[in-house]
Amino acid sequence: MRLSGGLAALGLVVCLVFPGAVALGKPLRVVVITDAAGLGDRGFNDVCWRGVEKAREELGLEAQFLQSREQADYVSNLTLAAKRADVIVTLGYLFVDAVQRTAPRFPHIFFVHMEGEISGENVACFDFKSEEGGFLAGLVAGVFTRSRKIGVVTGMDIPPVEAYVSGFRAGVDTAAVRRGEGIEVIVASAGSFNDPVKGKALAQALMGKGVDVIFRAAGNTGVGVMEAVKNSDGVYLIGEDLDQDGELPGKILTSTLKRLDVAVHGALSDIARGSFQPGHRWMGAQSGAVGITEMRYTRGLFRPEDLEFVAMVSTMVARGDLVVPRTMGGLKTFSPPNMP
Amino acid sequence: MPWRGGWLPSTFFSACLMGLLLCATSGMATGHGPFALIRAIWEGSWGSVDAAITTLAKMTPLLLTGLAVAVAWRVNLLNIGCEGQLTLGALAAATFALQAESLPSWALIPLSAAVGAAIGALWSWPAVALKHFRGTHEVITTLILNYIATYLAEYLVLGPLGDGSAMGRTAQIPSGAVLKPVLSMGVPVAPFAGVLLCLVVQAWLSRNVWGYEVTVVGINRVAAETSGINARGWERRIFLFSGALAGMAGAIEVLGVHHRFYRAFSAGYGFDGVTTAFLVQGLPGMLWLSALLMASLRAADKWLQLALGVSPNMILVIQAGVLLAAVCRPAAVFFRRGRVPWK
Repeated sequence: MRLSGGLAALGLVVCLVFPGAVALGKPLRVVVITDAAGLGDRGFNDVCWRGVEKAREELGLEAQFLQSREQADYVSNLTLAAKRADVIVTLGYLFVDAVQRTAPRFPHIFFVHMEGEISGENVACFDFKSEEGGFLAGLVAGVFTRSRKIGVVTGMDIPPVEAYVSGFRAGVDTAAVRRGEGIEVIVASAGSFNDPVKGKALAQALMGKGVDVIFRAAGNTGVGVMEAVKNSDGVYLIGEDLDQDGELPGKILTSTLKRLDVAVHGALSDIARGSFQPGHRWMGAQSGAVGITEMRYTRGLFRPEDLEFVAMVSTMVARGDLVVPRTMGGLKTFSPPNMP
Repeated sequence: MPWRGGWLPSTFFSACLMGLLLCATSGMATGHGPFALIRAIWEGSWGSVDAAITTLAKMTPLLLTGLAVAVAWRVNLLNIGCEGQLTLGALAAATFALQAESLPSWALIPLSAAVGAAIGALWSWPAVALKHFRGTHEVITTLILNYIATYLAEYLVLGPLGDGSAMGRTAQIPSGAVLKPVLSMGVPVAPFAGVLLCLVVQAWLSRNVWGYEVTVVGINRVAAETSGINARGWERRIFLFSGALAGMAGAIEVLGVHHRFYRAFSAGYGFDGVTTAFLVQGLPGMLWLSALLMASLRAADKWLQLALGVSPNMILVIQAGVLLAAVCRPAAVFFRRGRVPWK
């Protein structure tokens, strides 16, 4: 009696200490949980899913994805997924609370989370220095704009978006100093990452104010922004999170890159190899996880010296010589570097 | 005109039939076979203890908003403002619970719910007042009030009532205000209370002089006024009651499910209330049936994805099909009982 109790306890301890042991032999089952926007947002969720697909091909794991209809479903979706998966990947800041609540209840399951900090021995979470991508995008917009008015359409004003916007503003300011003239940035928030209709309306309103470059930092809402830009001459878009340049060739100046796929893929490979690393990590330009695209369709729209300027500042950011503000508070104390 | 004794089940069951038909055809079209979708919906909503608890939890707001629409429909008013009333009711309940956290639990929970209900009623008042004084149609006003409520709540929760984070939410309500589930398994108590409330309202409407007056106002307003019933007064009281129910739905979502308010709070529960009410022709005593159906559909969407890889939007299509079948009452064509209840 005592012995069997002891054995059971030992078994429990083994399971707790070596969570990977349960899954050995079978393909790793992965469930990816998204917010209401789901896949097909041509942004955040799609990039993450790309990393999962790559891992699926390389490692032969089973992957499913689960779209949550409302925030009330987050915890129950996590619980449901935890019962049939070995790894759960949650995409986006809105999941922080729910994962924090659920992860301790399933110590034998790995949680991989994108954007936001969650503690726990079975949780690995990644944050991206979105502000660095935003900064470079702001730089491009700033040297390009002819009307000296730039628009930004955001989804919800959560910290990662704030980082994008403050970085972007800092970039525009830097370009303005170089040009020696003021540039106005108008930010409009849709209040949702999943409202393309509103995204379109906001973009049109911004154009009405004379904006000629719009930066979308709005998830699926940004699909509407793209729609609006597509139909108007002389207005250009800056994409977010993944290379969207090819969607409207010549109309998208550049896209910020947030290599969520690299992070997701890396975390999944680690788990498959049995070398899971819990904890919170920052990914930025220095690790190559954040940046902007090559601008392969739009280089002709810029003066060569402007492109050189952008490239030079890019290397500064990548080397860590230039610290980009992540919050609006930080932006106030940011002074644009003086460039030759 | 409200329901008056036609063959009720015809609506509900023709709607269910329509839903099943939709599931079967789309199941076949996507290559899963005719019964795969139906099975997945069943498994996803009642197949396990967890699933059943989720489904029950989703029933509460549907019961209350459904009842809100149903009672207003009794006096020929269509309250499609539940969404806004629910949102502000939820925000008010959360704020009250946070302010009055020193109160004991037995006072805090009912008071928070009451505050939510009061704000819900307050938010429905302009619609009925405008109707009476200016003849504005309540569908228009309640719909517009929804938008005002949503953005007002957003402003408040990002500013003075929020927890200071950029997430647009209030702080977590004190544990004394949390509506705890009964039984150790976590079965929520609210849906049962909701069903009871529906039955009480039904009894009040059909076994009471005031309930009778309300029914008369609904069937023939002119006749009611001629025979000395204060039609306007009843319309106002019933509409405020309707708003209070929607506000309470929001309050109970906060106290029982989310434990805080956040922006974009209602996931369409206000509008689903309209569906819930009309599935059973606005008959309060039968709302449990339609709420059960709607909650099951809502709860099943995750399982649909995991088991079959079907988009959760499929559920929305089924819901729409069900409602369509309910409002056009295909069975009525065969049974020829009475007229279609709304013209």
